[in-house]
Amino acid sequence: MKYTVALVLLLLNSIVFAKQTEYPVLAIDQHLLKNAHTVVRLNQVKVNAENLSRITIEAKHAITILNENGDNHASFSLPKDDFRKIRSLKGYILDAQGNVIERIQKKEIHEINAAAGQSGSIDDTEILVYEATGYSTPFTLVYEYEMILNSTFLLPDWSPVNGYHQSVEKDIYQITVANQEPLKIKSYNSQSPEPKFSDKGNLSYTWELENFQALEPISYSPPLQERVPYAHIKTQNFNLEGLAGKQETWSQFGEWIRELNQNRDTLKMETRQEVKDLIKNCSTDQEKIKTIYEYMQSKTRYVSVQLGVGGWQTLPASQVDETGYGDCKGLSNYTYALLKEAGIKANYTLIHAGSNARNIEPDFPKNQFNHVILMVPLQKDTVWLECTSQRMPCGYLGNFTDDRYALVIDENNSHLVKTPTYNAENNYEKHIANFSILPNGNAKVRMSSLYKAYEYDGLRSFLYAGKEKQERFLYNRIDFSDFELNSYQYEQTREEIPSLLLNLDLTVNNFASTMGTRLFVPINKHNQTTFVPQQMDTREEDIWIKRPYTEVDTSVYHIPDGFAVESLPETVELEEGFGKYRLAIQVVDQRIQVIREMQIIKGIYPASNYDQLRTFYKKINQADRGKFVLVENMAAK
Amino acid sequence: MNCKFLFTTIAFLFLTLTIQAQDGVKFGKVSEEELKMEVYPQDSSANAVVLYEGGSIYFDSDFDNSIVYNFEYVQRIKILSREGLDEANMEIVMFDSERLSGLKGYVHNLVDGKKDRESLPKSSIHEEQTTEDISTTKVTFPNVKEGSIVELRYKVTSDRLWNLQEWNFQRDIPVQLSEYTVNIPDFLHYKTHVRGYEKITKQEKTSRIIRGQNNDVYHWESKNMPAFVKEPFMVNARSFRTGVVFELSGIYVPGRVHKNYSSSWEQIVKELMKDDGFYRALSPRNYLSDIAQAINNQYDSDAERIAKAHAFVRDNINWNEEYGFYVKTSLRRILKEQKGTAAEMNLLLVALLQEMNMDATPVLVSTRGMGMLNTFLPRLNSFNYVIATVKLDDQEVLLDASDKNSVPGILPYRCLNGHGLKVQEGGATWLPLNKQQGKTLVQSVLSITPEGELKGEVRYVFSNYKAYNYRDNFGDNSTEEIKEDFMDENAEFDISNFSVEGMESPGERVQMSCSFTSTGLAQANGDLIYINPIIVERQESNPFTLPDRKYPVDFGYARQEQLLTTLMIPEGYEVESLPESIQMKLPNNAGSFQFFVQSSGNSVQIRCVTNIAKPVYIYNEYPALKEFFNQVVKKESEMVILKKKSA
Repeated sequence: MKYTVALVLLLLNSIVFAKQTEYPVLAIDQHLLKNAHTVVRLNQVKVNAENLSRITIEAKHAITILNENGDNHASFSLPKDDFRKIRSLKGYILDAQGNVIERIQKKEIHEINAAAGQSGSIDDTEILVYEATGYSTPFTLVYEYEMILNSTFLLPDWSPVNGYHQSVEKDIYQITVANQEPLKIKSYNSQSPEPKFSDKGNLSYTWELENFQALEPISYSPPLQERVPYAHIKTQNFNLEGLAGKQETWSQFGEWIRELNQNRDTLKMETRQEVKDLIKNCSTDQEKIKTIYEYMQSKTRYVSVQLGVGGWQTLPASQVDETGYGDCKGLSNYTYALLKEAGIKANYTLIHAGSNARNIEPDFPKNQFNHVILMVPLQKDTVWLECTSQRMPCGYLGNFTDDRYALVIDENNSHLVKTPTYNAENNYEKHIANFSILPNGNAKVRMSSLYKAYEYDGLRSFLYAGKEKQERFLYNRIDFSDFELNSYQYEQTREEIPSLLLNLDLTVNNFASTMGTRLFVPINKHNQTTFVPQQMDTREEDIWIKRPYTEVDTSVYHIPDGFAVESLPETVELEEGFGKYRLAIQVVDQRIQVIREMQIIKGIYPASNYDQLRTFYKKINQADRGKFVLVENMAAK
Repeated sequence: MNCKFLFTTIAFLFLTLTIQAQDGVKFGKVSEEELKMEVYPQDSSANAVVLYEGGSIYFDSDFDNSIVYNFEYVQRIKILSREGLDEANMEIVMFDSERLSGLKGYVHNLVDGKKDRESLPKSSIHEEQTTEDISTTKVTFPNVKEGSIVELRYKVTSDRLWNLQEWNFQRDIPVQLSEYTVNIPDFLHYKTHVRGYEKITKQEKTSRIIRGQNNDVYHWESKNMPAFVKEPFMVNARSFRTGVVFELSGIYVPGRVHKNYSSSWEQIVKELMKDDGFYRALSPRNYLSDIAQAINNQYDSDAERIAKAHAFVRDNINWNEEYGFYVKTSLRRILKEQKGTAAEMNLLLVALLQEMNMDATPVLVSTRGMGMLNTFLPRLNSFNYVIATVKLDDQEVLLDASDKNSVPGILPYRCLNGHGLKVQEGGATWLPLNKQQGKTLVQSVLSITPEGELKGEVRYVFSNYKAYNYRDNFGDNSTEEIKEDFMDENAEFDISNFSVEGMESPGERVQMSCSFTSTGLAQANGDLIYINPIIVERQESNPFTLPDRKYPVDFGYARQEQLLTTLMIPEGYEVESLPESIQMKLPNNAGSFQFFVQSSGNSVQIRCVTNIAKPVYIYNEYPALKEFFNQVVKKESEMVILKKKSA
């Protein structure tokens, strides 16, 4: 009887009649399945730049979703606006054997706004969205489309791998351009193709990638984009919305940005007067900049406005003046105009933002940016201004735009400049703590903590939260399990390296665990390192430590009367290229003094150091969990 | 359900009603005190406060004589800090069949001590398509800074009578005054219900005649409503916000239409029994007879038959990730196309079980994402999901075929939310959905050297809901990936011999084991060794640190965790001191903790059992729950002390 159910199932499966099959899952090479959630079976993109203002793209994509972890790749979204048109679009779904199960219907492709569901964001790009749901894995999504772009400015780079856990079976990317506009190329983790003359005398370039094995995210490594094959592509000349540009040099590209954004710095009469009044009593340029910057912060808010050429062109300062909102371009340009009114020259500056963003390629002038800030060059100093935040201290950038090349726009002199790097002394956290331990294991704690730069960033949401929210924040943040917050005070210093001083008064219950006559007192409960780098069988990639920091703890533990020290953790001292750690414990009268110092040093270290790094953290982890043991002195009773 | 009501012969001539706001609240006119306000006295933390929010609903006939309702809305918000600036970005979200009109707004500022008012310009209004059938009008107020007041008003005309605009008195920022007035003509019947945890200051029901049409006029008002603050471990917060919701319960037009919807749960069940998109979709079911017969013939026990029927739907139909409770196409077609919503899959399962002569019934569910279900408010809109139940030896076995790791009796996490409503002849029956229990057993054997080096073997056994949970988290991952994840979680150990078993068989337990080594976890001191014997899965901190709690703590399911540790005493050492054995209980057996320690021969054994006996704890159980975890953390931090034997 067992056959019957099987037979029924079989019938069900055969409802779709098999025709010609493509991309069967079995055909995927075994090694491509390793670590993979999806396999790109084919990316085939043909780009034809007939001239600088008409580019056709014919694309065919086939991607196999191996399991549900790859679900979010079972979809596509194609942009549609004044610059990009979709001409044809069709697709279908294949089962594991490669039979067509279903053709994608028009009604399944939804046209929605690019800013859909995002509050404070306005966009005039529409996107065509499709999501394949209701198919059992593995299955394959195949889709083809034709897109027309109206500028070589938008020429897509070659980017065959678009996620972790994604293998690529085959990728072919071909660009054909007119003979007089040869491509400029910079390839990474792959070879740059030699151009070939095609029949019409055009030049064509072809990239191919086969059997690329899926990558996994690993700690201490650069972003994915720097680990996979990639090519920057451009034409030296371009034309966007009637404005011609060149990008052989940064200066040329900067010139185009400048022209696109020029004459957009007019302010209202009232505002101009206000600026004059504001800076009346400022004696230095620094003071003026701070005054203007804070004025801008008090008048505006960030709203993402991407309309028309708005992806690249700033809103006029007059409009930001009128509405009090804008995106990074609008707010930076507005601040530029305010500073200009105050007699201070600032530079509109393009940057690729993000705390773990890929580095831009300094030798390849073209638009590699996604954000705008301001640079204000002074005689001795340079002031950097992030204009989208209402709370950032003047001159501080934080990890969103630190330590990277940015394109400073300047008439006929646009060039790359490196933004500030915050070093281990800048990113600083210090705790001075005083613990009065009671015989029952509870403790009275007074702690004074200083947080600077990146460490300060982690507390920015605390600073402006109001009392009740601040208390909730502290209850969630403080690393004791069972405590009462008796009181807290804080003070911040809003400078180029901002800092926060936070004083806490706490009663901690069960701070020390009690056992008979003994008390086990944790030495560093308030600032324990619990992190250890993941165990890896083999480490092939270099170790990247992007941001350094320093922690210093000085704690004093008062031993309750009638107790004596039975055991102390040993002093620990570690020093490696990538970091230092020291834990020193000392008994002075009825007090135990613990000094802990930890520093992580920025750098790129060879893969062979990985075990050392792991051991380093394991030792810190264990040292931080150390306890000293107090024992009740029987004689005293 | 067809909800387009056409009344071609009855003309409804309504007066245009406008919002009658409280004294002193006039759109476009703000007071100097309001502009000068720097802190909202009732909540000094507030980044912004809603000074006034008012809404009213009245019914009307549309140009095609269909019935529509108008929702008139007005709000006034005071921005108190820069963190509150985003309150000046507003959104009006509508279905495509709804119409927006009369959109108007003002920004008020104090300029040089004088009141300044600016109208909302057209350029600040943008419409976008948000999903297939929803569009959003985004309003970005200009010139807003700390101290500004923004006002907005508009009207939405809607044909979605079964979805009368609900009203939230409580928002993420405090609301000083909020009122809602709903005029309901007497041919329409709505159930109204006030939900949430905060008090509403005023509720009244009056009636008035508008052009010969008698209307019930409901009016609600709340003053000084505190901001809604989310807490960890809760289902969708929406259901906890204080507000008022509606359910269309009937349409009565003398001599013409008489429709009764949801005056009671019994009535809801009765209507669904007659509904082609619900219960009636279950039959005819002759297309299932071959399968039903095959299963019945092949298996002897009902338990096996149920499991096979469930597996048949689960494994042959692909869930399209939609919830819902109505079927969109026939179940026969679902079977043929092998793709459907959760409702379609589970109704198909009910049909199959019925065809197998089992007592199977659909059950309506409000998922965790939908929020807490209020069983005191008969309201079909409370549900967004359907599962199945079948009687087995007088027990109800709950089934959800949409989840590939589920088995009879194990529902996906999204369903673990209060009670579900059985849809069957003879009334309304509620079934508890979160009776599942998750069990974790962790056995470890540890040995240490006098230098404090530690070696061990650990074995995890996940059963019942924990096994489901584990598969749900890792089922699509390779053993290699599971191992890597485990190594990440326990990075302070060096791990080897990792294995995991049972991933492929839903319903079975999952076992995972490995060996590990570590240095430095034990502290050696002369003749003494101190070690915390709870090496893995120790409760290191209390998940509940805040002093108070307002809303229920919702864990989803009850759970039990057993840690069995054997610590081998190194040669030449003996026990100096052990943690004390203890037992404790939460009031009413809502949870327990046992910590037993004994030493025998060359080992110390510890049995540590934490039992969270309920899926949900209400606010007044919070202090005990918090203290319970404090004690667990405390106990699990205690040390074993070993001492070198004197020669």
